[in-house]
Amino acid sequence: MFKFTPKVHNSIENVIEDKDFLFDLGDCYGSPYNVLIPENIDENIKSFQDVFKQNNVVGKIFYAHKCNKSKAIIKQMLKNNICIDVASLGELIDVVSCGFCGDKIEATGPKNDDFIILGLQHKITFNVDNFSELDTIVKYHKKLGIKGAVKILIRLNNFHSDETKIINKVSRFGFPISEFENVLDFVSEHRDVFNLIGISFHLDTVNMIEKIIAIENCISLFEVMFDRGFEPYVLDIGGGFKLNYIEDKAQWNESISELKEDIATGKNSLTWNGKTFGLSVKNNILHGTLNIYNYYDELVKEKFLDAILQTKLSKYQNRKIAEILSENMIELYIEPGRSLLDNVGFNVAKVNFTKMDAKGNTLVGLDMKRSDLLIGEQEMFVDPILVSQKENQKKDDCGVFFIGNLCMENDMIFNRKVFLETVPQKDDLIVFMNTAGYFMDFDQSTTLGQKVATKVILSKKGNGKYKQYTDENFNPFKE
Amino acid sequence: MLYKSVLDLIGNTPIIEIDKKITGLKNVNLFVKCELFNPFGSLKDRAGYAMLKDKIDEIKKSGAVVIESSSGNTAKALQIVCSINGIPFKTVTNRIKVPETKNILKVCGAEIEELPGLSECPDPTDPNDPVAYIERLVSENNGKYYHTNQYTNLNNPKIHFETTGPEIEMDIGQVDYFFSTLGTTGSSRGVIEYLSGKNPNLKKIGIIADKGDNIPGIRNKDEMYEVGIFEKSLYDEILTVNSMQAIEQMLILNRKIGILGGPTSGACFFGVMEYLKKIDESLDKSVNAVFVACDRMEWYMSYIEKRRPDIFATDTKVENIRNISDGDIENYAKTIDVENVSTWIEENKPIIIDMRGNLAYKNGHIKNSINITDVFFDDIVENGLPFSSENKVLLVCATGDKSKKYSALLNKKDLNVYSLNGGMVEYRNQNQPIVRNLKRTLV
Repeated sequence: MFKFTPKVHNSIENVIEDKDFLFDLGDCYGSPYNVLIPENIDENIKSFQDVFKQNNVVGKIFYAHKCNKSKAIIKQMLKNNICIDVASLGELIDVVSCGFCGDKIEATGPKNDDFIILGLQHKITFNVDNFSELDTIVKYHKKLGIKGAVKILIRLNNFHSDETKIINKVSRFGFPISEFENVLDFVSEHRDVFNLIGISFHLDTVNMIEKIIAIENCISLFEVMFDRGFEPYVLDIGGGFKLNYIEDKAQWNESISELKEDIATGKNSLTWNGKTFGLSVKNNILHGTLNIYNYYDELVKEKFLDAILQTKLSKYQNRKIAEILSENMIELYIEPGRSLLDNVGFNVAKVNFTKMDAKGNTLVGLDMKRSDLLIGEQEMFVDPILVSQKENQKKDDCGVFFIGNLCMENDMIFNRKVFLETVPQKDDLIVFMNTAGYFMDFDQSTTLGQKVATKVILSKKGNGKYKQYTDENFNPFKE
Repeated sequence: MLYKSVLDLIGNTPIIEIDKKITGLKNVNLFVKCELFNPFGSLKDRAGYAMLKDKIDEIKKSGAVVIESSSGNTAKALQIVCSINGIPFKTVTNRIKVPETKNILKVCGAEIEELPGLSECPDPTDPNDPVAYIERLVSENNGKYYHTNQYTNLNNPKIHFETTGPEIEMDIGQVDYFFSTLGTTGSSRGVIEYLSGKNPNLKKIGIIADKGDNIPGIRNKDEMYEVGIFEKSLYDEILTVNSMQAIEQMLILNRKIGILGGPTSGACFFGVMEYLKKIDESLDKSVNAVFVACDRMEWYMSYIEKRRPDIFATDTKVENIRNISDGDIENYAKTIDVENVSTWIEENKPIIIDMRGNLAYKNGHIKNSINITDVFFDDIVENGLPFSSENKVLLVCATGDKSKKYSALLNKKDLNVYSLNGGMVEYRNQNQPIVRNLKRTLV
């Protein structure tokens, strides 16, 4: 059975069980709309903080703002007293307007002059990416007459291990580690401008070994910094703590096997127009890797952090990373995004129409476009949930393709078939589960005059009922 | 027996009949083909040599590097065949899951490259597999690499058709059931083709690994598509085995039969017994069944330990800081508070031992302390102390917890050991004097 049943948090289950409520929201805000329950963030934050505590590590969480534009979420983060990671001028303005002070803000990514100027005024921490950025900081530090040195982290890439030879993907972020001494030279020349508090990296990989190698490399650089008279106390290991979206492991394994068999045998009955997600078939042999996010994963969120902290480094007398950090009084900064938003939101779209294609497949036309859910070419292997008020429903044996509302051939919601219990009908609602991190508004656009989803914020009141807010007007401090 | 080259030892491996008392089977004679007796320790020695044999002079002359995607026995065999012929070898893998295997490859001199993990936002156009990577490397560097390509190299199944199959048939006669684990499927394909030629009624059973589990050298259902066996027609039946079952049966192979096959052999043996127990009663005549013990168990210690820590557990009677009781800590530990420590040191002139990691020590320590990291200190405590009861000793760790346990443990043995309360964290918090060891002077 080709199924990817989503895991559903209790609180979310309660909300979607109230069909009338969901349909009312649809009538009120149109399709698509997004629902967020900010207070569900609290338990995610706590689970990370517990891992810090268990490992005796002083840690700070910087929520990676880029994974959702919601201001309600930002305020909920502030209420939890954590820090925030911004990657543009706009994001910085957002978080300042939501109440964040500079000492809890860190700027990452590419930065233009305006971003740097506003950041300097607010005394935020800069995660420095390149020499030009260092120059710009020096320039405006003087021009603006900033008092005191600005906190910086040096972002590095291209790590290597003496024990494992991993072929590095070249990263566009940060300085190659070989440049480190030159960066220190520059920073040394401007000690009045820079307060070097530590080093950072973010690796775009789900592989733990690569992160461990990076950490080992960075720890050895602390020695270099100590030797040069700096007093660094921060190691920032970025984000990428992953998330599990799927209810059942066995179902995930079987469904992925089914997909591979379908592609390998050339049946291509499960994918739209022969899409193969990175695989190819030559002489009946399957080549390549199924390049999809591991929607089922066991080592995620705080467990992944714990596994990292528990790893022993042979270069440091086989001590655990947690021990090395705490002994050396190095604070650990992490920048989770997706994993802080587990169970926080879902997307809802209305069914515009259903039809048959030339091959006899059922197509379900949603009143949403692909970019209301997904980033670029990524595919979602988490099944949506059908919410219907209709009485006579037809059993779904053949699966359906969900298509979008853009007048564009490639606007497919999924490029793979979805098997639901019953076939969706016009005016039914389709709910996409656990979408708050990256699957809500990352690529949002009003192309072809189609609207972007409205965000509906729900917050539980004393009577156990949810109250509705707009994203702008929700403020957990006012409660 | 005298040989001119170790390569002459490849093949002609023994076949052993397993006692019916062990199998409990009435009608089946079960034989195990001991491929672990090959000189480099596995079935892959045959293919590794066969893929290079006729090309050695050519490759040597061209100065090419032999390249293959293997994380185990094939890489080992290729590496040794290459290195004794003075040819460099490089293996490209996704991940080597068993650390010993990697170490063995390194000892034999192989160059290992590992591909990076999948991106968090996977790009569907990125082939991200070792074979694609090798193919790109080969085409970009004309003539620099010789790709043995075990997955498509016909010499792989051929060598088994020409040697392994005939050896089995020569030793035991007609084979009725043949079991093999499925990896590249080169070996099983070659053997099956030969044995089927001799006995068209041969039953062929393939063994694969359970998905989400890992048995060295065996593929799971999905991975089978990568070697093109999804037509399944070559096998009468395909059985799935998980790693716990594999290890359980490996122990029988090791302990009751005395064949030191590894988890892969265990997996095969497990599949064999599952299958044969079912059909044994219904057989009306005696039949011959064969499976392959493909490699040795010594290379999989961490793999076995991870899954069966019970095998390695020992009842330790010796008292150490992991089993010292709270009562003993209460009764025997002696501590010094940070605010009194400077005076206490001056008055007592203790040996000060900083048990933290070397980097932490270097970055700041109490004057005149020496650094013996706790892991080494553990060894010292176990093997004999370099101080006695006439010395006063002050132990310093990060938080004062570990040092307190050591203090209790050692004082119980009539030594005179103190622990710094709160450790270096507290010491630093109270701004006590710290010494730094810097390589260079301060800028």
